[in-house]
Amino acid sequence: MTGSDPTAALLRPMVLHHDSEAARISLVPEGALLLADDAIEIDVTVDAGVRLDLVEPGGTVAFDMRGRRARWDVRIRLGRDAVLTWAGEPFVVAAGADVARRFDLVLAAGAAVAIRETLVLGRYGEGPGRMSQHSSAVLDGVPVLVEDLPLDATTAPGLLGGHRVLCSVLLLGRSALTDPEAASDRLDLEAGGHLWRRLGAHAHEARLPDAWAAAVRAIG
Amino acid sequence: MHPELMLMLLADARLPVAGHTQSGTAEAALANGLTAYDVPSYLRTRLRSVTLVEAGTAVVARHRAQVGEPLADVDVAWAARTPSGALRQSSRGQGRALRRLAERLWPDALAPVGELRTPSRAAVLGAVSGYLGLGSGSLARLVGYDDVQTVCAAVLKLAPLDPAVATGWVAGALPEIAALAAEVADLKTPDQIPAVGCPQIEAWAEAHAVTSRRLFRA
Repeated sequence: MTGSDPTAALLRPMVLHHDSEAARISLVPEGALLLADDAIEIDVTVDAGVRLDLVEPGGTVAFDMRGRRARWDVRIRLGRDAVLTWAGEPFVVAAGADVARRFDLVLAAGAAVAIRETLVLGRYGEGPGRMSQHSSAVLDGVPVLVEDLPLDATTAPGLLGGHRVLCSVLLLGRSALTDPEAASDRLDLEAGGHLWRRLGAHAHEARLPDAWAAAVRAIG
Repeated sequence: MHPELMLMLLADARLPVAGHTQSGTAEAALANGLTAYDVPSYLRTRLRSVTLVEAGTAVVARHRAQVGEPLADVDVAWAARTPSGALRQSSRGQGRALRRLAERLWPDALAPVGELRTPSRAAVLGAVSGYLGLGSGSLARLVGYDDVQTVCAAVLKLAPLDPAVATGWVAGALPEIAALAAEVADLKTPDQIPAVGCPQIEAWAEAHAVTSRRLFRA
């Protein structure tokens, strides 16, 4: 994990718990995130058959970058039958911020992932910054989800229907189809798995607690 | 046959492929607060997201059909870029209708999609348009134009409007359609297909699929 000073880690992985089959790690920011010219790279590898739970102590704000940019790249590799949950906290793109985010997930056969994220365009009472997010997920060699969200003041009103907040829960490699708690806001992906989505004017309106609980249950 | 005439044939709303059952999710949008005033920006949003994906898929499907390569992974790429089951189902319904027509008129055009059980509309349209001699730019403009006309015709049935106003929206969207075509006309491989999603349209499409109060299927 590197930032604008390439020698300094900006996110410290803090081990909360680990044993031979599982680990729980908190991604703790060291100093202010996210500023102009920051280049965050998060590589997550979970070897075959083990489980990793990632948590974040709080949300992240991408601040006004005054014409400059920042990047936030996440690469996730799951081995056969590996499991990852990532309980993401809100990512706020303040007015004037310009962030390119990438999520690349590669899952081997039998692997499963549950990821929660909340995108907030602009802090309370301000307009949106610019954020382009690219997500791709490949399961056992087959693309199962590819999405670009180029969000800024001109595109966000259409793509998000005038909402400021987009909350998502992604479950891949398992199904929650029989879970009645999790039927609303759910997109059933072609290749199995689900993407729950809720749009809202405020972060508390766009939460998906039932979906997240269902996704974590489905992971087992 | 002259490709321009074939393009007119495919773009004509009188083509019996059940185009009148489609609103381009405009019915759900109007039911959830979109006003007639917002339609031009709604058209632009579609042309830059879901319709861009469809046009890119059709262009790649056309290319694959032309060079005799399989279309299965083109539809896999399309499905990965279409997380809403309602939108996938609607596309496949339209693909089925177009395939039925092509079986009668141009059965040889369907060989490339023969291996697909429920091809997307884009895959069928790509195969058919290549067979009929349409270029990739014409095909992309056809997808964009058809989408714009579908939305505007549906809005005319749902909201009291002067038809000239709706045609003005279509005319106003033409530069955006040309830009869409320029963006996708040279695509050759499934991984190049644009992937711009529209969470709001996806949510509306899902809600529309389960309501009984509707004029349009999708």
